[in-house]
Amino acid sequence: MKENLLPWISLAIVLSNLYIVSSSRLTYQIRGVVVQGLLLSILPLILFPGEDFIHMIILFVMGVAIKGIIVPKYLLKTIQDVRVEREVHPLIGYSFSLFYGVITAGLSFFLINRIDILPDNFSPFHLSAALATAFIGIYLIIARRNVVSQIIGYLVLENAGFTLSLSVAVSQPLFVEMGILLDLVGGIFIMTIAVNHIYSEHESLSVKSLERLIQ
Amino acid sequence: MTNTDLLILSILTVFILGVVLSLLNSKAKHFLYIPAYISGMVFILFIPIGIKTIEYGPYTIMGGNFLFDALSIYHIFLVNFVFLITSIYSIGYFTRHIENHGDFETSFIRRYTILWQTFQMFLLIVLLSNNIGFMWVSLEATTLISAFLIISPSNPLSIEAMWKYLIVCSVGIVFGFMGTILTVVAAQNNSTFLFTQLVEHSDLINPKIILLAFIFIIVGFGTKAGLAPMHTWLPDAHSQAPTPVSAVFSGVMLNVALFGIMRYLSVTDLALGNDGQAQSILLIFGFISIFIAVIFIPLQHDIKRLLAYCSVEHIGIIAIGLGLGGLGTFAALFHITNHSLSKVIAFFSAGHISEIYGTRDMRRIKAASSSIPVWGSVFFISMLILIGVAPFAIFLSELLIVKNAFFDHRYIVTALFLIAVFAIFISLLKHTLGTSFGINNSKITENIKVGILDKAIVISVISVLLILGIWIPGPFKELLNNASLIIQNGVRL
Repeated sequence: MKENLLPWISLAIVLSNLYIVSSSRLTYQIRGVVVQGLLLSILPLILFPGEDFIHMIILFVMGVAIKGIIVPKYLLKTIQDVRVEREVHPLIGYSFSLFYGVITAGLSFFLINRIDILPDNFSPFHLSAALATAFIGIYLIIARRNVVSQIIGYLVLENAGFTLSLSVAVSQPLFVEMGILLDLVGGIFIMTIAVNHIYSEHESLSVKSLERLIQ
Repeated sequence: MTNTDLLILSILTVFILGVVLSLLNSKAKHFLYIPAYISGMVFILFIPIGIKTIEYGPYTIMGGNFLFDALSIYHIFLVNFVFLITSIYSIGYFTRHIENHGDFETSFIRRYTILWQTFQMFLLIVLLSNNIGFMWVSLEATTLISAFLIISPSNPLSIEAMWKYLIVCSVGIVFGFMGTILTVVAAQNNSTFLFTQLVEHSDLINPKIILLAFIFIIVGFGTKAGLAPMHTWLPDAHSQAPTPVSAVFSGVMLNVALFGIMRYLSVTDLALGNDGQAQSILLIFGFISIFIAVIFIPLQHDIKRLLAYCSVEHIGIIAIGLGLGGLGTFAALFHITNHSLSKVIAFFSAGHISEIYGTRDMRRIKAASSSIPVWGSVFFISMLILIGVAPFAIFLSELLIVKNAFFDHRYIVTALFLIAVFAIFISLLKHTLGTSFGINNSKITENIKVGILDKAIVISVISVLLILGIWIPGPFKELLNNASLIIQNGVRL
């Protein structure tokens, strides 16, 4: 089952990247992140069938609860509070962003298949999905001016790290995984509070209003 | 349960007690004292643990997840000491602000004291972690907790600084996470999360992957440590935060992130067969940091921003020391104490000066040493120490680094280091002389009495730095030696 499903899930993760990077509405972007988070939560069940079943089930349930429910809820509430729907003037247009997404996905697949240092038991599919996701996360943080888009970028980057971490999920103690997920919730919680602070101070969510401290 | 387990549990209880007390008290004046008491108690409780570690050598507790060795104990004492003096300083700082300016509400100060104690607790957990996953989780937690310490209600720019800190460090720490995972991948069939086991089985580690992991770790943890070019959050956060926060950020938090790099350095170096590649990477980042400082220090007008860039320089110097290895590691560890102590009092005095002058702009601060004798001269002296004037301790640690590089026949490193340090010497001295002397044209807005405790702290810190510059006491030297051996050879139980 592993061999059949893994490429498809990796492909779905890459497609969710493209969806996130090309949509202008923040709610759509968040929807993309939710889909990606859910796909990632399924991955451990597919990667390690039969190994330490309870551990994998706990990981799955926590992943769904945090990436699928709690984090998007915070973000959607923030968007409502500050009444922002879309990124009005992105630094780089959406069609180019889509182009960037496609190119980096191809590049990741190419690079991972070229690298020969990885152990044999590693699947190139999910590693290239991780790398492609990291490219998208960094891109969103750099190229978007809206602070909410930056948070989404951080989430996507975190997803990339999570995908990578699944390769060692079996040996990972459960409390470390729980800590990682709790940090994610804490991070998003604090970032959304910060967004509210920024909004009440500047009446805007553009990072342009956050450029007074330079040098 | 061993004695250490009990002590660690009691330290945890002390922290929880501090948080509960802060929640229960209703007057800001009362709970301002709590962090000072708590960090005092924590300091005392760690003394027996420290003595045991120094006597018996490295040991782990709680299933191997926590590790006590010379390196961690050294850092723990520094963290506890800096937190203790800064907590005492912040009593006066906040009391003044409440009475004179009324710009801190009770709810703000309550949140502040709670975050402050939790921040110290998580920094200590990072230092004690033997489990690399645990270390990552707690380092990330320190970012999240300390983000709100930067905000102060009277300063709208602090929100911008906090946002940059949060986003830059969070992204950095994700890279650190990838490095952590790659380290486990590199351990191959023997996948383990414990530093001690990684060191023990270092011959089984895949050298290529561990090198890749180490680069991720340097970028990730280095962001938090303020290594250039990932330092961009640092000048903003240090300059906009309340003075006690700037002091612990610069004096403690950067070191703790560097501590993470040190642990990985020993594992990576062993896995690579001591070929010096890992050290070279650190050396490069160290040089980028001090040259960034060379460029930006002359351009600064904000007194706290100046100190922030000065931190970038010193973190760079520590990285260079670690990168040189051998005696350089010893010098780097010694430099950590010197930098932390001098930077903390530099921030204390800079905070006072900017309060009294009503500005942080150094072009409007003149003749500080004659207008406000105590804090003006403390600022002058602490800047001299930071510049590296003999006979203070920073001079000695920088000299050790130069000596080591020179006798290792690394002449380019020696030359570049001397050029950078000399350039910084000149520009910092110019800033310091400009603010300390001259003719005072600006109106001094308020006069602040110097509390007896503040005086005692400042005098004792300066005399410690003076003594360390002339003579390093035997036990301290041995602790530094053991700690530097742990960085070079890895920790073995």
